[in-house]
Amino acid sequence: MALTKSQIRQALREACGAQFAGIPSEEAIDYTFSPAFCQRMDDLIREQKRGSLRLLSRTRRRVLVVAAILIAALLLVACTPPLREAVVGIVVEFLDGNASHTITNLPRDAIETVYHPGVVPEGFVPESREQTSPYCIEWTYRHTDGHKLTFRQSAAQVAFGSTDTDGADVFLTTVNGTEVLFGFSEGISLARWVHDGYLMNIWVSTAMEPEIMEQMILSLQPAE
Amino acid sequence: MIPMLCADLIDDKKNLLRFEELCTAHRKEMLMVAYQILQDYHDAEDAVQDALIGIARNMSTVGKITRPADVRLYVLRAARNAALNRAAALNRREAELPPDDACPMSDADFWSVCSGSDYQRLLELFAAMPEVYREALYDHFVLGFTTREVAAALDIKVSTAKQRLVRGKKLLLQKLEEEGYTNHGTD
Repeated sequence: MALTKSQIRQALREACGAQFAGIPSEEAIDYTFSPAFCQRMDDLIREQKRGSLRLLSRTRRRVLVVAAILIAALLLVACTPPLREAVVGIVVEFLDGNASHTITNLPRDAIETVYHPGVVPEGFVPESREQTSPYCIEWTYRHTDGHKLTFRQSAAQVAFGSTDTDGADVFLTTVNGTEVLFGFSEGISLARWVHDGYLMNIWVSTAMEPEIMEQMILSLQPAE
Repeated sequence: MIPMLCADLIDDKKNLLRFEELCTAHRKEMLMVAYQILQDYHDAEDAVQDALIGIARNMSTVGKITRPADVRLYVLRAARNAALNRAAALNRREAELPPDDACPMSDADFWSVCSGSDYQRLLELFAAMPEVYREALYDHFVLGFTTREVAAALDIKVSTAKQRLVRGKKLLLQKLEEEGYTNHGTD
């Protein structure tokens, strides 16, 4: 009986894999990588992120045209409640020295549940809580050295924003399954994401580690 | 419209997440492979880093690999090759072939020829083949890489990748014909 392509591939796979048969599984190997290695890996991953941003910017002309059409269409959809879809998305377009983002199909019309971060970076203390409209509430925290942290919750249908990318690191990532737009520079750190249908924003007037921003995102909880 | 707008972003994000996973999922195994060759953990870490840099450069190709077993094999081979490069012990010899290898064998011929053999014998022939040909055949016929992608994955010229594929196929054909296997066709 003739061998199938699948069987032929399996024979090749088996032949190539035989040389590694003696290698223990990842979990069985007891080894701690050196700090230098771990740092180089972090640098490599960070470099990969920047690389993927550059790849996006190569398509900026096409993206710009499509984005303009898309935004116009979305504004029309946003004004017609039956047409709103359930899926929320963050789309980022990179232009010269600027990253513009669009967050679409936000389902909330007003704030019904108030959220705030359960954890803030060390040194920041609550300063104020202000509901500026039925659609927006803002919490402010102040550091002893004067830096400010703002957490804003918005009920909006479509959201836009732009960030200067010169000297800044702007990228989309996933935190615990949630898509988050991060922006980091020497003088500001920001995060933007959607939680429970609300648009959430954090701005900090100083450089922050992404891990600390992630901790705030993960600590989000309803206010008492 | 939306998929077109998001295509690059989604593809890149997937590959980026995948690369981050690769950086942690198999690195100890990669280290062991490199250590077997280099016999020094510092050098082995450097080789793992070289391998991951090479993988990072080829993430759009690596992203095509769907089976976890193939991903593991790919990264372990990358670690081995990086270690061999570091050891300057690149002991790969091209097998001696009949002087006339000007006629390339098509992929369809490869499948036909292989289908006429039995599994165990085919496995033995693949295992006995020089590694440079075997890994080129694996990248092309198992992972589905084009010749250009094979060249990028193995960090060789496209012409060298073509040559290795041709010679690998011819070596296999030569051995099978010596043993009297005939083409039966395949699905």
